[in-house]
Amino acid sequence: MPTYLKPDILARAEALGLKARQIVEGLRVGDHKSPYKGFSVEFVQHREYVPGDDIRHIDWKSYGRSERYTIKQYEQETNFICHLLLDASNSMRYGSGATNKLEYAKLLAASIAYMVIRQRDTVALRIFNNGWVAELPPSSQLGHIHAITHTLEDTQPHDRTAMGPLLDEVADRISRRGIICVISDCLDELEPILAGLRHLRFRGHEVILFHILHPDEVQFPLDGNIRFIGLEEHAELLTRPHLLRPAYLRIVQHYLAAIQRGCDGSGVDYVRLLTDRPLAPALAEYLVKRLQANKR
Amino acid sequence: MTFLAPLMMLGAAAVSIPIALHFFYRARYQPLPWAPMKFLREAIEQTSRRLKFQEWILLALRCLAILLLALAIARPAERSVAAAGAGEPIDAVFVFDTSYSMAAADGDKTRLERAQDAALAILDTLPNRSTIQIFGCADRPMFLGPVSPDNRDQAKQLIQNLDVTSLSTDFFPGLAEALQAAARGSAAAKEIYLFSDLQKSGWERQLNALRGLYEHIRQQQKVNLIFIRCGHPERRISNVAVVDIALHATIPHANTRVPLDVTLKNTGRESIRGLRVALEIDGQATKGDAAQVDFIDAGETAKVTLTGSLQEAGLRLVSARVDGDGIAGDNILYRVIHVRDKVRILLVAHPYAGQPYTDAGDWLVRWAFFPFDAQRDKEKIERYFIEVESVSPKDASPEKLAKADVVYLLNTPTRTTDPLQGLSPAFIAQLKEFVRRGGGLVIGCGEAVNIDGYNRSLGVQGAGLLPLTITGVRQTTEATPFTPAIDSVVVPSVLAPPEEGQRQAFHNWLRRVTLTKMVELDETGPGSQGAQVLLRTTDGQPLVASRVVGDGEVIFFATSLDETWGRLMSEGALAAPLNMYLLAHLTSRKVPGGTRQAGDVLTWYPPQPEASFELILPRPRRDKSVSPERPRIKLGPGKWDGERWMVSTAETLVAGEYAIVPLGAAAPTGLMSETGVVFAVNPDLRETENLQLASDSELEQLLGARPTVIPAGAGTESAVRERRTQGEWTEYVLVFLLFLLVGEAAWAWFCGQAW
Repeated sequence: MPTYLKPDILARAEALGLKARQIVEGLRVGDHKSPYKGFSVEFVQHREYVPGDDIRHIDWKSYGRSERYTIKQYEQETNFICHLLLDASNSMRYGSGATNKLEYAKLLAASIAYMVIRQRDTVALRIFNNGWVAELPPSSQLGHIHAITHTLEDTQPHDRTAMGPLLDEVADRISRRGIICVISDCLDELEPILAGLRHLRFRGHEVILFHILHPDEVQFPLDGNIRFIGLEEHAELLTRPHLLRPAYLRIVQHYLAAIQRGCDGSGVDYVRLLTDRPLAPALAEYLVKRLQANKR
Repeated sequence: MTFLAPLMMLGAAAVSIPIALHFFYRARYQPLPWAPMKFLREAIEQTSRRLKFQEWILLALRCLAILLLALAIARPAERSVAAAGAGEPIDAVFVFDTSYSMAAADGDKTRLERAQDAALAILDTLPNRSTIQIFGCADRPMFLGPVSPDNRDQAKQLIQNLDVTSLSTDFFPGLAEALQAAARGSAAAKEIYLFSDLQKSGWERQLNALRGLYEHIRQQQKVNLIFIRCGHPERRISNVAVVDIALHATIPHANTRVPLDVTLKNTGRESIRGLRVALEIDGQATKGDAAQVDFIDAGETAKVTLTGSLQEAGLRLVSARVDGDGIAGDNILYRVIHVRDKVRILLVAHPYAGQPYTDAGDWLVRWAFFPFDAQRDKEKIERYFIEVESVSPKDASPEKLAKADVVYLLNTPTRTTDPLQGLSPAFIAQLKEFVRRGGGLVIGCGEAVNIDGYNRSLGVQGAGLLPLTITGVRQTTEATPFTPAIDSVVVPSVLAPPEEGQRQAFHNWLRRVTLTKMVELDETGPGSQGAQVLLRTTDGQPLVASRVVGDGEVIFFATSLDETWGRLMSEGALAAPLNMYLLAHLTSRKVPGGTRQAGDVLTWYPPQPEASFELILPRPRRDKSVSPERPRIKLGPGKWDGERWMVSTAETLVAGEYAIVPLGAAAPTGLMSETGVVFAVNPDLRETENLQLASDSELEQLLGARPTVIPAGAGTESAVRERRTQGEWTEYVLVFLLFLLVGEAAWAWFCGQAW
């Protein structure tokens, strides 16, 4: 079994199921509801015609009864494409063993891919740093999971992150709306990232940002004399981190709040994951929240 | 500022330690690959200024701590004199006040014993390789040793054997010598210790010179002058000094009892009761020659008359001793008295020539000496202790002077062209030598005195015996005679007897004298130096003048000593005491050796040269042996002063009996010495005239700056050690360092706190 398919994680994830908050259109019928009402056989509701609506969808029977133009809307179950965008830049290298950010991210990506495919939905994988490192086309075949895990297995961190332009590119390239799962530490310029996310949302995608952070990066518990060596830049800083902690925490909190605010503002699901927390409960927690939100 | 251990300042190089540590720990930073470098940079930007500030402050504090530590170890000091505390050798000079006030009991010890204890204690505080020079000092410095300045055992022995002298205190010579001695040493630090009771009079003797010297010492940074006070300023010392032994204007002669006035003075600050005064002759107390003095108030004098029995002729050492006070040094006073079996007087005068006998030049004078009837008491006159011989001027030969004690020239001319008249040049030459050797000469004028011949033969150009040059003769009438002005009598002098009653009676008779003729004397001419006018007439002219010539003296009367020019000798009530006073005065001068004061130079003119001479000292106070031998000092062969051989010495440090004898000669018994000369040396009574000790504030006032004064006693040693480190700033530096370290720790803690 590939390293990233851990039975316990997958078992819990499968038990809870992956309920997309939004209904995406799909090629095959699944248990997801299409967001495009009107094309499905299952009537949902009428709504008043507004200029621009296709006149083919006017319910003439209703017009006969009420003399008002109404549009007849239908609901149809569809399957969706889940696009996994994994950050494999050097900054993801931080952490050791289970807390390594990239490893954590790979595990997360594999878990999501498996769950999506098990739901007979389609999943695509794109790995990037400051460019595209690897891309796997969408597929709902169960065997596709092997290709994904192999790709993840082969992925090593390289180069700097340039996520914003890449998100824009993805938004342009993916015509069908789907679920875009961005897995990254987001240690890049914040504004291009948020712009990219907004762009994806503008294209109608449901966007989930899995913000992978090492606890050190958030809590900054370091002590002693440390020579910080930049993972994505050729820079060194000699300092005693405990002296910087208050300022650092202020800055990090400000940054996290800005991301949270940016995601909330553009309808992006923001999921912050610290690598010291086991992935299974963290993912389960998110999925429960997501399901509850859909029921409402 | 100087450093007591300057090499320790090399420790300041340790300031490089925190700097090295700074870079060392910089190299010891643990590498950590880090992703959110941007956040880190922003955090550093927000805190770096503060952190740098903190770190620089911390580094500066640590460097300063190292520097202060090095500074403290190097022992900074205000003056390098404190180098002794660092173990550096010292050239120490100990000056001991050996005046006899140091023998005063101050508590359970004498001042000198306190000085000795303090000196031994200080000696132990001297670092290794220090040198020590010890001086005794009363009114003159005396180097005592040790021969090898680094021989401490010898120094200790010298200190333990110290004894007081009979000298008075004068600090200047001793301190000046000590400064020179200190300068001869090679050590960087010099310490001069003056162990003394710090008697006030010792500073006042040469105050200006002492002030200058003290200022000079103060300006020399390497010399430290420390006064060790060995007497308590407030402690009252009782003291009675024997200040005088006086004869009752008599001529002491054998087989008589002579009344002696012993004068005592209470120089202390409180009255004294129940003193016993005893008279000793040749060191033997005479039975009955003692008296009790019931009470002497502070500052007052008391006179006690004791009679001494003078059985044998010769030089007798009379001493008066008192006891019962706090200072023994001035409790005895000596006086050498020449006890004579006969006093021989040579009268040179015109012989009786049929005129009224009273006109004979020698008549009145001759009978003024004898309280007997000239015709009836011939036997008494022959047995009497005064023997008078008359001789005419032309018969006066040098041989006549051999046995004479006093010579009278009565209306005697000097030789002119007539070889059968007047005093011969040979006689005059011998007369000059006679006076120089201690003889007395009385000159009376008269018609026979040839003024030019006198000035030429006896004046300044001749024998130098005339007190003043004779310039002429003046005369008056019986109605308006010249009379003596009693107010002009010089006191003390031969014309002013010490006893008040005698003086009154004598002056009353003297006031009645009338004169009609007298010679005029030049008081301002070239021959007037050394002369003293003892009596003037009421019109201010010199009537009696004197001149000291060698050991003798000349008394010159400007009128005649017969009745031709006046009535000076006409009244027996005046003539008898006048001539006895003259005789007592002039014979008292002719005492071989004599009475001196401690510190005086003893001079003897030996009759013939010797290979070497010795000074025989008094027996030391501490010498309890029964051996008659007294200590001796070799004086050498003496020297030729141009006219005769002379031996002199100033080794008269203690009161007592001294003798100068040829090398190896026996010590004289009593004062009669056939082979040498004997001196009686008295204590210098200036020492106890003012017993007040100078307090610290008075010393500051006297010297112009506050000196370092350490009381002798149990704390002397620690005080000296403390003094050596007094100028040292180590303690302050260490305290500052302590505060700095506390501050550094607090700052480090503060810096360790994240803001």
